[in-house]
Amino acid sequence: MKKRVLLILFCFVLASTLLFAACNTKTEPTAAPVIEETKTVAEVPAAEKSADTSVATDKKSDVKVAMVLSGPINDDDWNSVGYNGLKKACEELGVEFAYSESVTDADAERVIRDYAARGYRLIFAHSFSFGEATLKVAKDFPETIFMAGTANELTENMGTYDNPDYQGAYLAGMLAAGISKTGTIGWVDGMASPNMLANLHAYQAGALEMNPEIKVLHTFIGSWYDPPKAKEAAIAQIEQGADVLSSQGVGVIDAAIEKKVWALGAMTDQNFMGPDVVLTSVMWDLYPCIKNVTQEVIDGTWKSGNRSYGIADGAVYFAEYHGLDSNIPADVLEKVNAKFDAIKTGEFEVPHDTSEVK
Amino acid sequence: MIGDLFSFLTSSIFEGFLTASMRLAIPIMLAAIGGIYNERAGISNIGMEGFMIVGSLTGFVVSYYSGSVWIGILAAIFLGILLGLIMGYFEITLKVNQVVFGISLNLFCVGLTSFLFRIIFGITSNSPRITPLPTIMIPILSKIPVIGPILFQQTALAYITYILVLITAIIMYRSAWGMNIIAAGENPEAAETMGVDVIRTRYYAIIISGVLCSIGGAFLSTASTGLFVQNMTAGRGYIALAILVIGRWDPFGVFIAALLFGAADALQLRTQLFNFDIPYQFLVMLPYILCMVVMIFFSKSSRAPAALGEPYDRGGKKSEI
Repeated sequence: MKKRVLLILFCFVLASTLLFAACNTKTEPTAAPVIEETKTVAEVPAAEKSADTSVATDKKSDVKVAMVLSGPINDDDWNSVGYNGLKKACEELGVEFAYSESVTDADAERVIRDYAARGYRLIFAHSFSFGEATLKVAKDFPETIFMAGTANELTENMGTYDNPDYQGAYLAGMLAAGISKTGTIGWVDGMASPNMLANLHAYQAGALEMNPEIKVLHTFIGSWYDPPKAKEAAIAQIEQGADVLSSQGVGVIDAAIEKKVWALGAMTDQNFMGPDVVLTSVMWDLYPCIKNVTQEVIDGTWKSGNRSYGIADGAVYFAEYHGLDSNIPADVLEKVNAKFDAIKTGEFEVPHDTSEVK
Repeated sequence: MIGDLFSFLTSSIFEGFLTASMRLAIPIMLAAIGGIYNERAGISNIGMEGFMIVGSLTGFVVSYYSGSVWIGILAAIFLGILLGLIMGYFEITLKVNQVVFGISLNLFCVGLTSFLFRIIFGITSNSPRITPLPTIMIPILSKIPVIGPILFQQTALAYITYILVLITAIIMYRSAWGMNIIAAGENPEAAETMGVDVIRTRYYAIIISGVLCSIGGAFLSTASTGLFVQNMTAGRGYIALAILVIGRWDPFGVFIAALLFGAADALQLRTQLFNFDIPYQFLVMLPYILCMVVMIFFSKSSRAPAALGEPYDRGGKKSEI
């Protein structure tokens, strides 16, 4: 009797697993385990090799790049930006790359150390919370080059990169204030990390420049991934009169769809989440940074320091409007575009403020 | 004065707060109602979080491919039965430590659902979405001040939850089977002597628990939002355990306790907008602090089923594991 129950149970599990696997028609064969996934890209195509000088090609082949990420690479957010930049840059340069996603802060040092020990020459620690772990490993592997996202302390072989997407947030604030009819706009965020605070302050400053009377609401839900709660936070803001929301987490756009208000995406083009309500998204592209850093490591010219790739470098910009720009008053769009150019030429500097908010 | 109060109670901001309270409460309520069955029958279910996340994924994936949220919820129910059976096999038949098994199941389910989601949809920059269940306004009833927004401006799944609360109360207090469940959780030996099949009763209880937790999880991905992200239950299964204690293992108690928790959460999201001089972290903590404070006051009068967490052996031997 007992055995039969067990057998039936296993059949169920097996059947449901097969069922899930059977649904898997669109996936690439490379999609594999969750916690620590390593993907290796094939060597440079032969045609590309012959076009290059042989010396450079030889050098290229022995540099391997790794990235350690704090969340899933398909979050359409911070971690997608990291993965997409890594993939594009490394495929273009023809170097081998690997990554580990959803690495917790406690595991970061072990994972980074593992890559260093396996001979990866360049390692990106893609989280503001990985700085200390990277520092420890960097001391033990002086030949390896480390790049940690927004780290405070650097060494000779450990540099950092930040994401000046607050420049884009300033423009988003201008745009939001410009299209708001109620005079109230919102910002829904996960946690008050330094980068998020810089973004929020810039968003407020931009909004105030456009409309000195504007009211900017903000909420932190206390978690990066809790869509139902982010949606509720957004609904609360809409009830207080907000009619344009800056979405810094999954769920906000869903509220915008339900309550028919505008949303502004962040990090990647999030228009697909709400084609009628996501006006545009503040994009952050890590590709130029990763490409340049990798090239420097290949050439042996890399120097420690902070790499900041913002609007001027084409790394921060607005996603396309997907035909929704007809909803933006011409003078607003003009002002936003003028400000974009001013930031690009260095004429205007977006204030960088990471102080706590109430 | 009374006119002022009335206009406040019917203002859109206050009504918004009330509807949000129930929306935030429903998933926790469903899981906690499920918990009533298994805990009353003497089985602890620490694995509610895991049950919920499996329900979220199943509900979402099947809704996505079938095009119907209800088929998705049916699938979530099926998986809930399956998980209930698995948990029953380990906790009732094999008599493994219930806390250890529950926690390992939670960790396993978080990993499994993330993995399966990736297998099914791959790494795309366009994460899949479904249209969530719409809000249904019950005619006339939804217009009642305070009660209307809380109870009658919700999704269909919320209305089903109310019915489940009522059915649970009837089963627990008005049916012979409910008495069997309670007997199995208070004194299994005596129940067995009186002809109650304790093992079978406990199996049924844990399966019902699995189903309700799974629906609670599916609520998050098919009614609250129309999407799935890894670990999207975000600890709601654990909070359901606390709600169960605060609600004193009583369907109506659980209903009120979950609603209070939802209200505290809805309140803190709104308080943040007023820019009081309080760090947001404290406001985020509010519902959890409320839980703990309430537990301090209720700890004396709240009594867990006597045989909760104790494996039952037909021969009267106590298991060593």
